[in-house]
Amino acid sequence: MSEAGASLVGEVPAEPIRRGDPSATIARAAAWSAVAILLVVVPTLAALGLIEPSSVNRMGRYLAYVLVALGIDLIWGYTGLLSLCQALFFCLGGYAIGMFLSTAQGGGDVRPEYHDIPQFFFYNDITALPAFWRPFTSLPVAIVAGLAVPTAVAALFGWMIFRSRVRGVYFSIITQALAWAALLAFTNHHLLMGGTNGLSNFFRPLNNDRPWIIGLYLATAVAVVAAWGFCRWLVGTRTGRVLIAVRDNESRLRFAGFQPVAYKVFIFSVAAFLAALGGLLYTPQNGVIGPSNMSIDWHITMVIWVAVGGRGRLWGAIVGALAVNFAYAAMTSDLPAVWPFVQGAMFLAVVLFFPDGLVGVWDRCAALLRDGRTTRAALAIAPLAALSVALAIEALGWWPAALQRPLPVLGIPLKYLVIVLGITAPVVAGWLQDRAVRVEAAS
Amino acid sequence: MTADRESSDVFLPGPLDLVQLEDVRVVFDGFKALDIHYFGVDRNELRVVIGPNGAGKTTLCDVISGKTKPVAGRVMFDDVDITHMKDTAIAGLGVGRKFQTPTVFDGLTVFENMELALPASRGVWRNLFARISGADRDRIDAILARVRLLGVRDVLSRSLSHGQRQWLEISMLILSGPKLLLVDEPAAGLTDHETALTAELLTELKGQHTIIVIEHDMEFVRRLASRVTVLCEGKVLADGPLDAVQEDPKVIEAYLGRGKERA
Repeated sequence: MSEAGASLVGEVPAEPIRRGDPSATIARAAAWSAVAILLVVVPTLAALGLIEPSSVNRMGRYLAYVLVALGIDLIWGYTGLLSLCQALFFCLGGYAIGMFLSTAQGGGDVRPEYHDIPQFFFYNDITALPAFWRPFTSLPVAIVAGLAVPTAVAALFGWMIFRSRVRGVYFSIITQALAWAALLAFTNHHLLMGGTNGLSNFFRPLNNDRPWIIGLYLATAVAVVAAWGFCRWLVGTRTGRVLIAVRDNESRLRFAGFQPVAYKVFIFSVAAFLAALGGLLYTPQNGVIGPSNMSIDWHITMVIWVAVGGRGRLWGAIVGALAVNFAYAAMTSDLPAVWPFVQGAMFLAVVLFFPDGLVGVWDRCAALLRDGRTTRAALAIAPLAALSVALAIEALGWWPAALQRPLPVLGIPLKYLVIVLGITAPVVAGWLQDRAVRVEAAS
Repeated sequence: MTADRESSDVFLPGPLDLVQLEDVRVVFDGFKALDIHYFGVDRNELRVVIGPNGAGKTTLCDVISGKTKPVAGRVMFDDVDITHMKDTAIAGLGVGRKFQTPTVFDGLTVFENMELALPASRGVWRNLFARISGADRDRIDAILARVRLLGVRDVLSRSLSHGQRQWLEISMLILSGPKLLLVDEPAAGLTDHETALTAELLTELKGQHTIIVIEHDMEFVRRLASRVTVLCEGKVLADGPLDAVQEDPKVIEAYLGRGKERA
């Protein structure tokens, strides 16, 4: 009997990740360098004037998106609930700080001819700040409300949905309906939130003066590092394991005596909080927050960031949000017509070929490293590395003029040729090497 | 119905029975899935429930665990009326259930699966700060060693074999320390070796836990060497040791002898 037991156990290779595993060492080094780059290198370069303020501002805004992506990864990647209303929570946070920034107390561009209140009130024939606006003349109130209101909305709404055991795609549809209702409400001028145009005319230096830009960037970078640390801690707790259990088998969890509803409400609220924090930091850097920031496609775009990066892993969400947005920024400035096709292709590729996103590419590399196939591992990771380098250059705004020049034939800048080559060459080389190994094994 | 009346006096309610089903009826769309006059299981007993397909075996489990509510009758567990209680509340009273297909949490390691089965707090906040004690860790390792899973304790359970998943789920149930274990077809889809090991495990647990096992596989039932209840068309048909039950003419007619009738 014991023999049978032993052979059964033998079927599964027990391969816990050991300390000193080469891929674990690399991953740790990469994480620490990312933190150093975000918090030290970029601000220093920016202060020295080596990065354009507009690039720093863009990095700050995209880092605010990373906060949303982390929340989506928690609720979708870990807990398996596809929420399609995260941009709403982002906007609730953004509107709260936007209200403060558009008042006189927040340094907003108010004028005597408009009664020294935000200019759009003119269209509503309002001459004094409405009562519900008044608390938002205080920055602490705006920040606390910007975080607490979306979290409370998510908790209440989540409790109502999850209590009635709404699951799977129905949950997604209901969140989308909520997002749509909110969009209609915020578009309406009678809500006194700026209608279609949203809130703007903030304190001008926020996204024009270098010290403000670097300061806001730094605040966002610190928030991202803190949120990442928080999420890491959260998924490592027993509560984090229960979240994965909700995703894997909710009814089994109930028979173990757990109340999945409580866990779902909790994680929905945490995700909303992170999205709201993102909106709070995004709005001053963007200079405007409006209903277009919660349009229906925008909720889905946010989910795509996480899908591309790789769900169920925190760094997948971070890398995904940054990669998709910088790719978007590069392509819409050079080849605006091509971007929708690229985004579509990216989504198809993830759904069809890379269900684990960019994380999956790294996992494959890590497995090869563990097998001792160093060259093949390098080839597997090379496309990802090439893409990262290209996106980093884009983020810093450091493309040399020679590569920016459009090719005479297609009108595409030379840099795209370099990027495509950088990605495809190692893929082809890796494929050739795999074939060589197979041929050798056969003979 | 007459057969039921006749046999009802054979199954006198035991006052000490941990689980008691009295006059329980379950109806699905007019189809009587379960119609039991009395079914009781004593403390620390291992009871095997057999019966042809559609006899109501799984429905019986569903009623005890609260997944299905009876239209009539009373379900008692440990002197508490659980007829109208929620499934989570019944689980909280100490009814642990093992489903027909092994259901473990694929995205968690074997050890993490076990951690969730610990009889600890189920609250969100508590679990944010819960730390596993050395004693709990040792208990988990001891149970994993017993079911030959210690070698794979840090492996994601999605990569386990079918048999290993069954044992992991049984281990999780044992760890949660339930008063009653409901085990639905533990031998389904297992190899002979795995079946033998599973039977060995369940017999080891006999005497320490109250267990209800539902099973198709007669060879497996024989190995368990326990009292058997035969269900047929939702009714209790016979009760006793396997050999006696198999010689019962009613059982032969309704269950074992169906093939003969046709031949």
